[in-house]
Amino acid sequence: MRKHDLLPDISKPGKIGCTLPELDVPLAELPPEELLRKELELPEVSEGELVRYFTALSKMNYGVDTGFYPLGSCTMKYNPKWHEDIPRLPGFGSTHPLQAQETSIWLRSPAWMLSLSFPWPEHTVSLPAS
Amino acid sequence: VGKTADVEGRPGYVMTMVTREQYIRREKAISNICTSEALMALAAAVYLAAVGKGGLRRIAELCYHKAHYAARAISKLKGYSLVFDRPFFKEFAISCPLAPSKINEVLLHERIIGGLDISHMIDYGMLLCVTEMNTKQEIDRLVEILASL
Repeated sequence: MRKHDLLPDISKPGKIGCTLPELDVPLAELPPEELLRKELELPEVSEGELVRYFTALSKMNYGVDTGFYPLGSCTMKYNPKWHEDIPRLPGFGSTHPLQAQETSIWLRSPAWMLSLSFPWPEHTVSLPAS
Repeated sequence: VGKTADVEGRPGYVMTMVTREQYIRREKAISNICTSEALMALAAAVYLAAVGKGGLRRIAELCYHKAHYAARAISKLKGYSLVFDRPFFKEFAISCPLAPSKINEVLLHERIIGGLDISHMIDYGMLLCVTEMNTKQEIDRLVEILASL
């Protein structure tokens, strides 16, 4: 991969960067051909190529991991890293906005929020302003 | 995002016609309330590149076949029927023999989050969605519980 190559530049037909679930049900008849899209403009790359591409991009970035980061606007301010961990918790990330309230009420419980334990113990309890 | 070239002819990408004060005249910016979609856009870009053109079609097909498998099985149950007969992708409305809220109570007891209650729009209506994330085993279990009601 050359330095300025984008994913479409290194795309090769048939490559894929992940494993997909198996089809475990009988085939159903597809909708009429005219309702189906013929072509998708997406690259085809291997997982290794994908990881290397985005890792290379991340090295061009400047952020709190690489140096001093004075506060900018809302979009630029420093957000604690554990804010990224919470939405990825199993059961939290897959909560549907329309699912019944009684199945998600615990998400709004302060007791639950405070019971979370993070890899950074000193930050376990924190109620940052939005 | 526009594409251009620098003085040495190397490609460069730049946001054009974005007259937000976060990007221009930052020193004079007075309003800075906004959300960042960049992280979501990045996650979506990585996902789309990982699955690629073949993978996204394959995922769509998985959604389609699994949803149709579920719809066919449920519509065969006594008291259940599909509300519409037009082509659908992965969501379909069913008419149930009892109130969807009651059905969802039972399903929840079986640790299944049921369909969306749409009985305010369609009598005894429930909207179900099946994607590539659902296994045949899960679908069969849902059908089994619905059949037992």
